[in-house]
Amino acid sequence: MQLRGWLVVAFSTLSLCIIIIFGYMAHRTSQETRLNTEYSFIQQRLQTLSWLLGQETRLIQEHFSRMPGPVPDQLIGTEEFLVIQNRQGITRTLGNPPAGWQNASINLDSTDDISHVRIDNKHFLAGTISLDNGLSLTLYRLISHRLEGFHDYSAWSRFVVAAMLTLWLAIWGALILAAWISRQLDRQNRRLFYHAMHDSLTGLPNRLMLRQELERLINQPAAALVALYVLDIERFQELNDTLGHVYGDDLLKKIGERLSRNKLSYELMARMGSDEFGIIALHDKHEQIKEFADQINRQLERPVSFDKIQFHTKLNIGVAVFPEHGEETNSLIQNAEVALSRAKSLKQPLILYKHEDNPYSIARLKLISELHHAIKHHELQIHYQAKYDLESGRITGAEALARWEYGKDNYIPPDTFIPLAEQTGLIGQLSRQMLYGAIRQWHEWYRQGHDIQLSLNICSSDFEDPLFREDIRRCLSQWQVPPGRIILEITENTLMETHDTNRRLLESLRDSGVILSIDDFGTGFSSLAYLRHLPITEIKIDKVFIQGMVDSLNDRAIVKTVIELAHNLGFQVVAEGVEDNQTLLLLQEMGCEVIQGYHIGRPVPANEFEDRLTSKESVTGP
Amino acid sequence: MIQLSKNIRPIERGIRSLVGLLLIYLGFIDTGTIPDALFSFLVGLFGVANLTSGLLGWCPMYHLTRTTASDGE
Repeated sequence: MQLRGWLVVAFSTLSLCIIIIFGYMAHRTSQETRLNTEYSFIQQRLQTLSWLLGQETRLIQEHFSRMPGPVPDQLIGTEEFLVIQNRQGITRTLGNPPAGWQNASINLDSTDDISHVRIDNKHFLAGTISLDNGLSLTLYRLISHRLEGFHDYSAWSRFVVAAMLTLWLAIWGALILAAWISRQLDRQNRRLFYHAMHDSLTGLPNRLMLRQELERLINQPAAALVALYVLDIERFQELNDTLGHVYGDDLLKKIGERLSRNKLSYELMARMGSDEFGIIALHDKHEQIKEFADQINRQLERPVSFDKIQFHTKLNIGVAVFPEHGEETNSLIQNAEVALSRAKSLKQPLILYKHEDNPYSIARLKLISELHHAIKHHELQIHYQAKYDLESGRITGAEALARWEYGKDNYIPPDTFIPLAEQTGLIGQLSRQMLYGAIRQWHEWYRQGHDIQLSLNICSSDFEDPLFREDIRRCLSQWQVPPGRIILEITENTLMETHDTNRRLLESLRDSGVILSIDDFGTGFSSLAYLRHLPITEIKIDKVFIQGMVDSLNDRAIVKTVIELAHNLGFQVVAEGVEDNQTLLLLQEMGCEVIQGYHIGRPVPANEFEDRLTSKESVTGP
Repeated sequence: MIQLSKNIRPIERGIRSLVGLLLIYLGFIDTGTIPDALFSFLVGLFGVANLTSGLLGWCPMYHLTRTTASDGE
């Protein structure tokens, strides 16, 4: 570990510094003690020598007059020599002085003084004493090498052992400190980790931890099914809004407690969002999913009581199971949420994810982006399907239909891309492109002498868009198209969706002069009695009834009734989806005015449609 | 109760045992190398500690410093 390493290095360095400082101090102290001992030894020795020599004063004086003479050399040791000097400055030596001793400078002014003298690269201590008879004695002692450092082995060993013990203690100190610091850091990290992985309100794990746990369970080689339940509290927002967030928070906490692990057996429960909980459970069989969901619901059977109010909680649960509903964590969570949102919209307590239900597939996203591109670059074509007038036996109109060519000879059906365009808000642009294109085409055909009625489909968002109405007016006048030649088809379902406002909107469209038609009539729940009040001119009977006419007497009866009723109310009737001559004849018999379908002609590009107009071909002909 | 699970690797156990023996020798048996009584006693004690940890394969200081860093609440 890095911290431990650094601390060991730092503590060792520190202890080495301490060892060096203390070692130096000990060395100096020892040296000085030694020197002081040596000084006092020299002084004592001088005293002794002077006393000894004092006994022999006469002798010395004689010696000075008659040199050399017998000298008590045994008085002087081997590592020292004595210099005797009389008043006249004449010197005599006792012992064995080195050759250059006379050149050595020595301060002899002060008595009892001891000084260092260097003679022939050897260090001496010199001490001087003056005697009463005018003689001065100077004793030179060689400084022992032991005075240079620790004077003996035991001091050295003591020093080395002390140094080693200090170093040892320092390293242990560093290790303990490192452990303490890392423990503190660890605790801190654990706390941070806990907060990063848990929801602060309920104390439950959060989405991140759920994700990690899911990842772990998915990757472990277990035969069990990993089921992810995503729970959402019904009417939670209502509680929050009416009673305030304090109650909402309280409810979440209480639900968290109710679903705790000692009541249900699962791997992990997390709070995933505002009122969304996630539970990961391992099952052996798929049947256990329903059982487990029931167990969850059972925990919430009793109402949650606040001081005044009892709140009955109901859950919507979406489930996705590894591996069939997602091979990895993200898709599993996403799919469980898709199942949940389906459960919410269908008001079902439990929905198991199905791939077919997922509107958010990658393919769909890809298609949306391609649709966006296609609309932006005007890649969608307009095809025209003929409307045939049974009375005159001629093509009197056409329905403009959007066609999306996707790759070579491959069309994406409008049933697929129109809802996509509606959901993604591209529909406005698409409708305008269709409108402009078709109106321009009408103008073109009109110039060639074909005066037909052109039908266009509009959806609810166009219908409610005041700018769209304005655009129609402007476009019609730009291409000098009489509004009466344009039929806007609105599906029955759209009309039903916008029930409250549709009348006013339809009136404003009708006021611009265009003809209004109800498309896919019979598939919704409107009645002719209701439509009677709307400013519409034409009704298109849905192809479901027309295609069933030949075989089903019921369908035939419905068509017949609708045609009759529509005529009675003054509407023109168009039959969609005519695919054979038999149907055509039946419709003719029933008095239907206009028919449309593959029997008359498939939707074709403008130039092909033009050819048909020019040939004036009749359906009943060959 | 401290769990005596081994926390020293074999090489270190060997080194510790050898160093321990050497220090016991220097501290308690060969009184000449370290003349000072207190210091030789300390050295001997250190040797005993090292030899013990080497033989057991478990070092109390490692235990304190390493395991406390990894467990705790």
